Amino acid sequence: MKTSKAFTQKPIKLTLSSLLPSLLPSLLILLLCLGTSSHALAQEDEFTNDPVSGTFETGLLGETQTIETPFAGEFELHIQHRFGLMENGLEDVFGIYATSNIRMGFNYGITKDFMLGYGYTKDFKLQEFQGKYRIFNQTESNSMPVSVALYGNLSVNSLDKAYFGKNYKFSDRLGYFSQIIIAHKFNETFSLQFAPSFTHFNKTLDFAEHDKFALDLSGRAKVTSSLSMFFNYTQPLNIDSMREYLKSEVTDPEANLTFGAEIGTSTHVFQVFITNYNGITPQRNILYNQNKIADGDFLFGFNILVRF
Amino acid sequence: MKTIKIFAIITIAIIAFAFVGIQQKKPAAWNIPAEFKNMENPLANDKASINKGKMIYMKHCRSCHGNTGMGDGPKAARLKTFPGDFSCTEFHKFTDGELLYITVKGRDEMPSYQNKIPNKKDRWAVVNYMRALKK
Repeated sequence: MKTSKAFTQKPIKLTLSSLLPSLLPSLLILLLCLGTSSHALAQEDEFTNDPVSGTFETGLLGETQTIETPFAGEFELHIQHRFGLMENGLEDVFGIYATSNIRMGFNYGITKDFMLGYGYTKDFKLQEFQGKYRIFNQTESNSMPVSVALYGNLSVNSLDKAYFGKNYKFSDRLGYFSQIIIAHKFNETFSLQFAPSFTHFNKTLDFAEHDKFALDLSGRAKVTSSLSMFFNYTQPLNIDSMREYLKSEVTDPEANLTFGAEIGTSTHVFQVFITNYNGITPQRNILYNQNKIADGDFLFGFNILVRF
Repeated sequence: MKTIKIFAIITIAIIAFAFVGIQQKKPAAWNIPAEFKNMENPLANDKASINKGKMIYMKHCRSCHGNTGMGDGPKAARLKTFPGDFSCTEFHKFTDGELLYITVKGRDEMPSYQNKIPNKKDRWAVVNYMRALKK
């Protein structure tokens, strides 16, 4: 097994000018959309300063978190499944009979804006602890035009310590994911969110960098009162000035595209989609995804959420 | 032969009992606080609010009350109490405030939607949608 220490280290150099070219297109898209918002939600009445409701159906949209949290005292059970790549066609029924990845977890709403959650994922026997706090709520009048939430996820790799090689320490098992989520509900039909994130692993394998910034753009369009279509696009920022190791570009993570359908009821949410990601846990997806959009490396996935 | 006859009788008895068991009782009168009886609906009863109310109704209410409020949703048959006919004159004798109270507070088999519909505007939108179901 190769460990990160086997490679020549290079000083980390992170500048705003190196990040801006990657950040700008996504920021411009969101700002353009905000500027052309129909303001259908704006009304001069007693609801003017109330927070908008139903920006998204739930706190999870395909592969990404949304600004939504469970209400205070609500439990959410999550069952998430990612099948194998569709590349073999009927041989394994487009990946359905292939090796799959599964996550089960639950979230609990501590207050209306703050949740905590736990989950475990089959691949790498990951134990996850997560939290989300909504700082701002978009208002009916758009006096606050966006909802903003902070999301954090700590994963613990539970594989045997032999997996981590020499000089094993418990901290080698830890991976971190932090994200700021900015969302806008345009009208009763359409919502969009932009979410920059930062991923860090204490120990990585095979030339993978320890740190990675990424940008996510996700949207949902309601087709009927209970059926919606949605997409996620996640772009890891493979910035040369951030590289710790020479030649680490050979394992640069690939972008992800997810698109699918969502059905929401009072007690359940079902999401069925096609995606490039198979890691389920965001930090593993961001840092290790090698499924390419251009090569058609897509797979089927679904999320089932039960509310109690 | 005797065993088959006994088995057949038991099967018929179970099926008959199952049909008897789905008889639903009429809902009892609501005890609604006075403050709700005269509460004014601050949301304009227009197309936008009715559409918004319909979206929320279809998510939270239709499984029992049915698509058009006839009390014939997919879960309705399993309820002990008839979920009500929202198109009838008797239902529309309730004031908007009373409908808001019934929707949000609930009782018995009708769950409370205080947490699931936290937004005041959404609650009044559901009231406006139920008003639109009048024949």
